[in-house]
Amino acid sequence: MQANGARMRTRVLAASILASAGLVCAQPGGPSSGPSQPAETVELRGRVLWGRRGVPVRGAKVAVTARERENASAFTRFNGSFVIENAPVGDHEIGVAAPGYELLQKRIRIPSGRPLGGLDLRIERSAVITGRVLDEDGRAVVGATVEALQEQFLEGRLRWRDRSSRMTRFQGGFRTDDRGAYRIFGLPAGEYVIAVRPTEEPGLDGQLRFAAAPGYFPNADSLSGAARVILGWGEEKQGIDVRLVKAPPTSAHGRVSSQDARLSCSPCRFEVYRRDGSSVRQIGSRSTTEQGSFSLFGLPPGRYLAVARLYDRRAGRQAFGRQPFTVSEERVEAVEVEALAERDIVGRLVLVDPPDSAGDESGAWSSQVRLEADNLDPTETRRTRGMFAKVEGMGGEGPFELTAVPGRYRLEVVGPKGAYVEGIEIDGRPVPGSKLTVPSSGISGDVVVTMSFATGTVRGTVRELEDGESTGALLGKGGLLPPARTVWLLPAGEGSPAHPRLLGRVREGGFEITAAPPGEYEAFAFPDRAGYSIEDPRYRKKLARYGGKVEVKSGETAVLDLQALPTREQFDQEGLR
Amino acid sequence: MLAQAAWGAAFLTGTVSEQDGSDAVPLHGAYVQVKAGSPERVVAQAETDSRGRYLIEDAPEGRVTLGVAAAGYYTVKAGGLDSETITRTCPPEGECGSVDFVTARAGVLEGYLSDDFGGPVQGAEVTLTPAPGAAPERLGRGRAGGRAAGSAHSDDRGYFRIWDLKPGRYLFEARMRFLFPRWLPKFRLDAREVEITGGVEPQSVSFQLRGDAGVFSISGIVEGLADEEPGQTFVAIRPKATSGGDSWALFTVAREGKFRVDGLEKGDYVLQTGRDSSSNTREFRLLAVLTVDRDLMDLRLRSSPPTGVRGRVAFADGEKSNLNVRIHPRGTEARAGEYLRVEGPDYAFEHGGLPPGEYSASLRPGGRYLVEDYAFTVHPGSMTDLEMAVSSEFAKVRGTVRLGSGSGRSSRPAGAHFLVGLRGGRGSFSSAADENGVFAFDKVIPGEYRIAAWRDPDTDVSDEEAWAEADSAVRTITVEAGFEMEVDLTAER
Repeated sequence: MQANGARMRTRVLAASILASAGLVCAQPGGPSSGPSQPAETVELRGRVLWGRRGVPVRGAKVAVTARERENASAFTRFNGSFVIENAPVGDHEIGVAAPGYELLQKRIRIPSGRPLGGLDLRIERSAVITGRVLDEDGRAVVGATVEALQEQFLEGRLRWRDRSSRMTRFQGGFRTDDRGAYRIFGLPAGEYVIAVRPTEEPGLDGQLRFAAAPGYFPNADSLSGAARVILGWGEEKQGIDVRLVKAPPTSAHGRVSSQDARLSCSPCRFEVYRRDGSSVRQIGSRSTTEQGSFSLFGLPPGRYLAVARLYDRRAGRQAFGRQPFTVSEERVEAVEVEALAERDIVGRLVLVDPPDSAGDESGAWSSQVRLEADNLDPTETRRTRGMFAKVEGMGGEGPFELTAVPGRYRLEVVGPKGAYVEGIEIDGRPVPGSKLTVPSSGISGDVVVTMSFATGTVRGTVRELEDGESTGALLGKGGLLPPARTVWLLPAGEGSPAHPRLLGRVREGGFEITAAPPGEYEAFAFPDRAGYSIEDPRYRKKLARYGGKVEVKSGETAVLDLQALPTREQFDQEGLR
Repeated sequence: MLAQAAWGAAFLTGTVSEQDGSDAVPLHGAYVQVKAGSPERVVAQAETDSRGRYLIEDAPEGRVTLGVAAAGYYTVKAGGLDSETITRTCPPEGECGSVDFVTARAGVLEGYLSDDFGGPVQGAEVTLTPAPGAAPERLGRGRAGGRAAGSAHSDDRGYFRIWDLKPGRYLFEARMRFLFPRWLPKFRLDAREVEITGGVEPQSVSFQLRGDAGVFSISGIVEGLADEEPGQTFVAIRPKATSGGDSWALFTVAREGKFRVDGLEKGDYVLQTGRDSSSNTREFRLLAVLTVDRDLMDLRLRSSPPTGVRGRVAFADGEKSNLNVRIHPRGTEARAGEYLRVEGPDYAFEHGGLPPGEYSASLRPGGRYLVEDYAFTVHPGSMTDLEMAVSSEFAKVRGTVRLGSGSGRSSRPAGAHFLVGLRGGRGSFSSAADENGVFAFDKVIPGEYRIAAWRDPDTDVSDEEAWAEADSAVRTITVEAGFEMEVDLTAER
């Protein structure tokens, strides 16, 4: 199951990369329903409404998206009603899209043999924030990037993320126009911080020059001083004007070099990030001069990071440099970014008591080892080709070779089937967790990864929430279904998990997770499109009563009955926000 | 060498003013930029003070181009010329002259897009491109690529705003290009012409867009992919005869071979499967050439045996480096077509997914060129072998535009700015002559060309009509790699 979970994640990743590039992609994951045959269709009638009183929405598109068949869709009329004449029978997704409203996506059961009517789809109106960005003299700041930030839990910690729509981010974000005006639309209700990043002035290669300092609504220079803008559904907050102060007369000069990798910058790109409390935000990027040098003008005093990534595609070499520096008005800072080359990492997987099913008749098996940057810090190195390797093993061992620039990583192994990483040792010294630090001196010893098959199984049932909306569907009459669910096994207790979380899909109210490493876990039946993260500490306490505790022992099956978790929407209705 | 040029010591002075009716007022905070090199890069710049004055102290020796960058303004006159830029030849040090610029307020276009119900259309991309026959766009600050002078996206009210527009006639287009999720309503507006005037007051327009009509979907299954790992194989689609902004491709992840592409406009498309192979290259196979004029569902496609081109690139001057070679159907723009990635150590290339037909190869203008105009034919089910040679040894053409005395004997340098053009089988190039009539082309692909000069700096030298109306006599020259050719052109007074 571990292998399955990981593969599903890579698929989701591939899909989200395409999606973030704005390209069309197929629905990831989920079961496939065999070869397609002429499908039975029925008539589907309903209404699209918004708000507490159920105001009809005109011109909304309602679509049933059956994975392999043509979409059946219709637009709503003036009274919010729609008729889809050829809705495919079965369990599908239904979506509602209307400009100015949140996208709605739900599961639906369309029964065979008779039309389905009386379906009320409730959507929410998106919120809008508008205002102007002005400088100290009250003049419009043109072309500045404005972001609506929300604190979200991602990859292990709370981070400030831009919540404007994916399409907007693909288009380069919200920019102020020639009047300094901006309008961020399509926002869900919630609490926001408005961040403004001025564009750099036109300049020479190697120079990053700002006329104004980055700021936050109303006139703060750091996240801690920023005011919160609270938006309700459908609300339009006007006059959220941001005042930017003039850029101070600071300067910093630097140089990117990589004697280590024997790569030269002629020129190469550099990026500058600003540390603002716990957040690290990019403020600009540009090419260095032909000699690899760069100059920064007008950065407000504070702590920064300069990052350079060098590639030599022909030789397949890369180097990565990351240099913290401080800007003050008193002195001109010199920033030397030394980019370090990749280091070779040599190691082997050792299987402990592999069952016969681990390999083929000759005992050969295969696996994949990869390094993931330890967190989502944008200044960390990105994954490159050398950071994953296929392992061709025979019997109890399989060698691997990886390359990675110095830094902190998490080592992950996928396969052979049914095995998990029990421990990592370098020259006989155990490495805590699965964290692998590659120092600038490189790793001299063999990295030995012990894989164990001594796993257990967790199975059980999931009790659905009491929900008037989906009762009809579950009784066989058809209608909206509760969201699809996944059972998550999270290692119990604080601190970083020794092995990644385990996932199991809920089908027909039950689930089974095999090949679970022994240990204590907390289990949750988590809904798809929940609107929050299961690992978010702000929710975890409230969620405790929905979770179950389970201890996995080698060779045993633990049975667990779980209460389904609510979505964020259901939480909000309960007043748990 | 370029590095030394960047540390020049010649100086340039002048003013930038804003035309305000018949008055000219100083423009404060505009950037005057000096560009040099090939491709041109900004090598020095200065900001104007409150009296509109600027001083550039570090201009490089040799030919430089001066221009103004000021948000909200466009250049009307550069050094007395009706042009956006002006060319000077600077000494190693000392004064390189004084150039005054006159600017004017750029135009603003704003408006609303609505659907069949009169409701707002959100997320449509609107673009302005110079209308056919209008002067080529020279502002160069547009945020969109290609020939677009400006672009914007409509917001939740259907509102859009494009600024920094040089006055003139433009084609206005609105379309919804990338949608997520894919079944969002799609709208389209056929191109129409708008006239932009400069000034502070924005011009307002509003348009009603047509819903979903004219947009199609295709779906189906690619057979014989079942064994491959999901995520590695994808289906790529591109319009067969691409032009303008339509040259993009759509990708869709193939899972168990299934694919679906929405939002296709009517036309002929090429479908390929692509696969990331272990050796950092992509293997392509041709799936089909489809005419999409309605929804095409449940297609069953199977990839053809390798059909395309393969070969090797030789480096005529021994200096090897990785390249992107573009192949495109013969007779279409070089912008269309597909890239072949050519990488060391063997510099071989292969593309097994081309529709049969006639093709040409080209390189993006820059540091190197293909020695010949390579053409090849792709036959169904077979791979065509192609050996290509690449060189970075260009020819140079320089000279002076002189004013004819009328009796046929050229006498003195022109003393005015001319645009000099080269046009031949390997492309069209233009270069501005300086105030002494001196011009230079530093990177000319060897071959046969026609050369002539025009007084109008906005002349489009790729337009055959311009050649019929040249202000100087048209001459024919043959330039050779590594050689510099001197050509003097004679223009009538």
